[in-house]
Amino acid sequence: MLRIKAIPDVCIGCGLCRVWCKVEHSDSGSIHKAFKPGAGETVSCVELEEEGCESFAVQCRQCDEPLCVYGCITGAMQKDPDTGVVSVDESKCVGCWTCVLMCPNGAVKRDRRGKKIALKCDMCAERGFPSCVEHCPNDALVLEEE
Amino acid sequence: MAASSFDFLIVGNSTAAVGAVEAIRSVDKTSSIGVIAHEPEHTYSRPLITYFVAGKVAEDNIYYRPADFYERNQVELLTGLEVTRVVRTQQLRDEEQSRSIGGAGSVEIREGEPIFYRKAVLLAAGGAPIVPPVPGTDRPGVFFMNTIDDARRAKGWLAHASRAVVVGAGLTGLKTAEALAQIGQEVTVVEMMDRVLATTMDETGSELVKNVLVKNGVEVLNGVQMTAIEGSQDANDAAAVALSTGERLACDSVFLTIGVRARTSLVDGSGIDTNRGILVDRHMRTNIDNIYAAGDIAEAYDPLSGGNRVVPILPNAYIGGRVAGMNMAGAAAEYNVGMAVNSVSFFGEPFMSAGFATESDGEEFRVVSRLEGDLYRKFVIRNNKLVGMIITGDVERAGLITGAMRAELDVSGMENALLTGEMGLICLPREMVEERIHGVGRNWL
Repeated sequence: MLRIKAIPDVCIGCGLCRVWCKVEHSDSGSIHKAFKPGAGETVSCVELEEEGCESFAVQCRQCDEPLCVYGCITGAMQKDPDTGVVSVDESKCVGCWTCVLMCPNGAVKRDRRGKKIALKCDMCAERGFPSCVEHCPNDALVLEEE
Repeated sequence: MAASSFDFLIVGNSTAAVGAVEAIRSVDKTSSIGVIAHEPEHTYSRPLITYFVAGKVAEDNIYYRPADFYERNQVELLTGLEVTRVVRTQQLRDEEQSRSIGGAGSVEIREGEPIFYRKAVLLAAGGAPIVPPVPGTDRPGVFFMNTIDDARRAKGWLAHASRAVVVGAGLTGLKTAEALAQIGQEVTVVEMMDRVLATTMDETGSELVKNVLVKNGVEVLNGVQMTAIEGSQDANDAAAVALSTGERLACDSVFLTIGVRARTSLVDGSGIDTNRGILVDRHMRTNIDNIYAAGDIAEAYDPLSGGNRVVPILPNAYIGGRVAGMNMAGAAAEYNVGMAVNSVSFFGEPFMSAGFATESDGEEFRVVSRLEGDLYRKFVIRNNKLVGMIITGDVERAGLITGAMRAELDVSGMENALLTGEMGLICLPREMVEERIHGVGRNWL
């Protein structure tokens, strides 16, 4: 089971994790196009938290006891028993945001670009490797295997 | 025919039952599980029935788990059976039979053979809608919104109706009103209390909710009671709702959404302790061995009040069912996160509340709040710890607040961060941050 782990001690607060997460979840999937005028709203599943000179990235920890899944009123939010990844079935989500209220890390977002649905880190399932981890210049985001 | 018996028996087929099945199967792949359902349905999401009425969710998308749920979890689903009573071993009339089955007890079925359980039973039969004690509630055109069948029948009726009255402005009532307005019905909500969502919202929050409803064409009458549902002169069908003010609301459908009451009659005479619900400990066990309860039927531990409370919300039903299932199967789990949490949208506007959201500033509680337009943030603090909140509109990362409540975080000096919405994990003590960003999210149960 894989999880993304933030290392606050070496985070420089550059925010590239957010940038690349937005690219990954943009319509174009291209850093050259995603932020151009008219490219549409971008959304990030990563939050960069900063206070003074401390910073770290926060995204879903794919909890073993996922409160977002337990709170989901439709069954749209599920934890894959094999990969451990918690994901949203877009066809079932009705945008009640109970998952947003349940996640103690504030790691479930609202995607309001089209149909209003929950948005969260999917470990870049389509891409194969989390883009935020790959593009972190200082190894402040790493992939850990349980 | 041999009496049917299972290692684990679950009475009910909704959220708590699913939580229990998934918990049992996560630690025990072989014991037999029987689920007894009164409704002849695959497990479905009860909150989605108003979305179904609104035409936003198709009937085949209302199911809470995939079609192969029972098969995949090796569960035998017995539908159309109404459990009337729970019987423990000592009460079994035929001791011999009980021994031959190895039974810990059984449940009695209306017009059917009892069903036995060998290891444990979970009572997860939920709540029954409260019928207001006024004449006319049995007229055609009067509906509850508790089951998918209620919704199907209402939907059929509404095809030739245009003017609805919703009685009760709780969550179900208001979601029903929203759905009815969205399909073009004229809707009036009648509520006895002086505001809507009175148990989950304070006056300011209720006003904001009401504003959204009114803006979208729903009429809301507060502080008014229904005294009767009247028929028309030549038909028995509901044609008007009479009010305590003497007024009459002409209508062609009535929705009764006053609330639900735990189905505690299930355990009448069984020696199982009840109050407003079936009383359970932090393992979701009743006072009788091998008998558990979870979901809307249970009165379970509420960490904020420190005592037991009926908190009939879906997240707690799942978590309670999961905790029960774990303990039934011999694994460890405790029910520690059973506070009230509510997240709901009306016409796209989000409203959230948790814990003692309705409390005001006083001796026991300190309240900090900020209202800017439709954006409201309120935090209820007791002994420097968050015990209640309301957030409307800008609900991003609201889980940080419930997380802080669950973790009993000392929020001294954080008022500003709470009010501006700038609170992050980074505001937490170092060891708590470590747990949140390096832990595996296992310590909630």
